[in-house]
Amino acid sequence: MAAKQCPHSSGCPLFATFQVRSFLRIWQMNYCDATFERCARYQRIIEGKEVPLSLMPNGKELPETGASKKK
Amino acid sequence: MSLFEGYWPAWLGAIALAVVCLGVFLGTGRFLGVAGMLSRLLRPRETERLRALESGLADAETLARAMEEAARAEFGAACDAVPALAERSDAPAARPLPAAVPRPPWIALLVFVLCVALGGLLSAALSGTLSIRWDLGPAYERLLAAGPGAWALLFLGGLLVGFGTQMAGGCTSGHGLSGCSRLQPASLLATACFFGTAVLLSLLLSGLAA
Repeated sequence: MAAKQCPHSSGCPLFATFQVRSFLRIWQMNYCDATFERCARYQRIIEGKEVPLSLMPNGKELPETGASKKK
Repeated sequence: MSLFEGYWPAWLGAIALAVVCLGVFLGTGRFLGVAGMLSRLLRPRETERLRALESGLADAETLARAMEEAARAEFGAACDAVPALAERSDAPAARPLPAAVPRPPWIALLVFVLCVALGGLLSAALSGTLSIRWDLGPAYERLLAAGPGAWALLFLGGLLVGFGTQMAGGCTSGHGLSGCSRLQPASLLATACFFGTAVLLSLLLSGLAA
């Protein structure tokens, strides 16, 4: 039986990027296509919480870039 | 009969809602969801923190690079074992990176919510029904409660609506308008539940009030 894909993948901006870069598909293989229930983004969605763009499936946040550090 | 006497005709309401939905999408690049907007409005610090953080990732190349670094840190050498996407011209790799949609500033949320309230006031004023009243109508008082009890019950109802929208991940605008128009299964189900319940309860109360 084929593994179930995350039901929120179509609206996930990170998933859209995983589709374009080969290197990033490792995220998709380890989370979206397999055990999406452990994806931090998925967990926040089902809790009704907002999902920041910077939140990765493993629960870590992407570091601030130069543009966001200025302010 | 004037167009603005009593309730608006259904077709006019539908056009107005469609214009608002499309306007929000064209203006912000995001789908309309009033419950989500209210939730962000009530957390101004968090809203602005995320906005600042995401502004640094708005460029698709920057986001992809940051994600590659995170992948290397998480999976190490396993990253190199991922099979490359096909090199065909129609392969996903040939598509441009999707750009992230910037988050609207907190002040834009405030303006939107104020305009929702102003729109309601304007509609009532145009239809000649604008008045300040402290009772909730004879039918409500006869069936449910009167005086302070009526207001307490109304407050409790509001709390339950808020709880329900958080639990369902959206409200009548997010699920009912934005989700259903995109045929999202979760939105279709949520809308069927809350509208179905509302229609049933309304029929029941009308029957009891008659």
